[in-house]
Amino acid sequence: MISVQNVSKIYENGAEAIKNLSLEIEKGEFVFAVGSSGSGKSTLMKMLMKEVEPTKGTIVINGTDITKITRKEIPYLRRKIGVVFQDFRLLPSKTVYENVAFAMQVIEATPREIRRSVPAIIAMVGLSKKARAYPNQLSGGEQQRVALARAIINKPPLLLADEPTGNLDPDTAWEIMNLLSDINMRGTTIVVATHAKEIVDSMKKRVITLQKGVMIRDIKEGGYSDEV
Amino acid sequence: MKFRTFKYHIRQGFIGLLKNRLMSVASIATVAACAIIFVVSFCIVLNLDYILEQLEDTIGISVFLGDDLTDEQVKDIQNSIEKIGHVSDVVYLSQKDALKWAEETWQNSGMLDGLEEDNPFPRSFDISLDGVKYQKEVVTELENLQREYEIKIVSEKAENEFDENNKRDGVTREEYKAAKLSEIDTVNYENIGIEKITHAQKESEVLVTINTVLRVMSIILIIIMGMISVSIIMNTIKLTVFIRKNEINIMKYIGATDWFIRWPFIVEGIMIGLLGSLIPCLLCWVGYDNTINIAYEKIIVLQDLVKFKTGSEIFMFIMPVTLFLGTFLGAAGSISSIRKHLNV
Repeated sequence: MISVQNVSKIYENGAEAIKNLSLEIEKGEFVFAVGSSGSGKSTLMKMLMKEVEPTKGTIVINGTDITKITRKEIPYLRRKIGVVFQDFRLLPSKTVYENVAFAMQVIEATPREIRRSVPAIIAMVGLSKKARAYPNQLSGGEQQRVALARAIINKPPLLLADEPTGNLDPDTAWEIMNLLSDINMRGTTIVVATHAKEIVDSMKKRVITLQKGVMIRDIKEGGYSDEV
Repeated sequence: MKFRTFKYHIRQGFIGLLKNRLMSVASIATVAACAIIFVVSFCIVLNLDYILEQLEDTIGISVFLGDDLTDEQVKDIQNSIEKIGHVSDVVYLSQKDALKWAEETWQNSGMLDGLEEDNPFPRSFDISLDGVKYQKEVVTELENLQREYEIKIVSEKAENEFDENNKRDGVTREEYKAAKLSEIDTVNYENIGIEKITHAQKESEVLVTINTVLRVMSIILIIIMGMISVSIIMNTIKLTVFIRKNEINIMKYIGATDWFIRWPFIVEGIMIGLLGSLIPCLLCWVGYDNTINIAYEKIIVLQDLVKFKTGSEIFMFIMPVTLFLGTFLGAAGSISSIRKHLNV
């Protein structure tokens, strides 16, 4: 699903965020990327969503070397990758329904498809009763559920979540993680960059640990506490 | 682009326009101010051009013909004049026509009584040109033609005048002809061939200068107004884009193409440009018609002196130009404003 080979990233200010990273992620896997601030996990996520270009190395997603695709092809790559951020990034002027539907409008889905898919996804994340609410009328957890619904509405084979529970209380964080786990059970490959030690420890998923841009650990069914 | 996507972009463009109501109104008003200056200046330029055209028509060339020319020669001269470049029309005025024209000009003043018997007016041609700027060139050609006819007629005369007396004096026919031709520049042969060419050289030069200045001024005006309008539209769209920076970011993350993001902003820019040019056009049209009517009513002498272009004549030309410019500049302003925000 994802193949990262000898990837390094040096920013313009000279900071080396990723050093010669190589890793493989299989289809349907659930992977945590952990590490302290500045470890390079956010840079890794940004490179996977083609927001940042690696200085060297190759990144292949679903058979496509994304370091070689043109600017025009980026939108079509992103349609196959769902993304969730710590700060939710919802459109404040749109309702829950409209925020989710927006992701389908962007890929020019028919109104019929939108009418059929959006309520089902909103129901899946448990927000049917709040479909007409605006983001500022929702709690943090609810907003992240909307973001999740938006990320998976186009059925991407890969979902990237960058600190999805960073702004949430522990209970709500668990709810979101459980939702991610559900989504993973349906076949979506998931990569989560997080600091949530307890959750990582409990979920017993594959954990990649980064430190100062170097992958120091890659353990199947690992935990945050395995970190050096 | 699918039709529903097209509809989506139009709707989003209008929503954007309404959302930033205050900024939109301010932009439309500023673009409108530019458009008003543009339209008013054009009304002035087009009318001055029109008045110049009318004046140009009065500044034609007249060619007066000598009494000795036969009808065939007159026809021949007319053909030669018609062949000169930039001559658009040649009207022949017989002696009768000339007298009639004079009678109409000095109505019943008694000045022309009894002239029917002994008509003093020469035959002439009134020559119109494609443009007053060609006058000098045509006059030179006419002067050449005049010279040619002088030579032809003097030669014929010399031929006819040559008689036994000349022979007795020992002068040959050729010598006699050459002597007569050499006198062309010194002797004033009245009523021979093309007798006189009249034209208003100074006036035509002034008109050509005014015309050139007007054209240059109108081009400069269009460029300046265009630049001001583009910068205003760009600022508005830049602000809209800035306000909606997050939205654009999110759109990029969920896989929107650059054009999908651009279109609503382009629609918004086009609407600003279109409204900003349509409103002043309509207002100026009404204002222009009223101004012209008042001018004709209040200054009666104006009616005989000059004619202004009608509102529909002017605005059927200016309105499409202004609307096209507004729309084009609106779209161009939007595209250039959004460019840097698309790099996510």
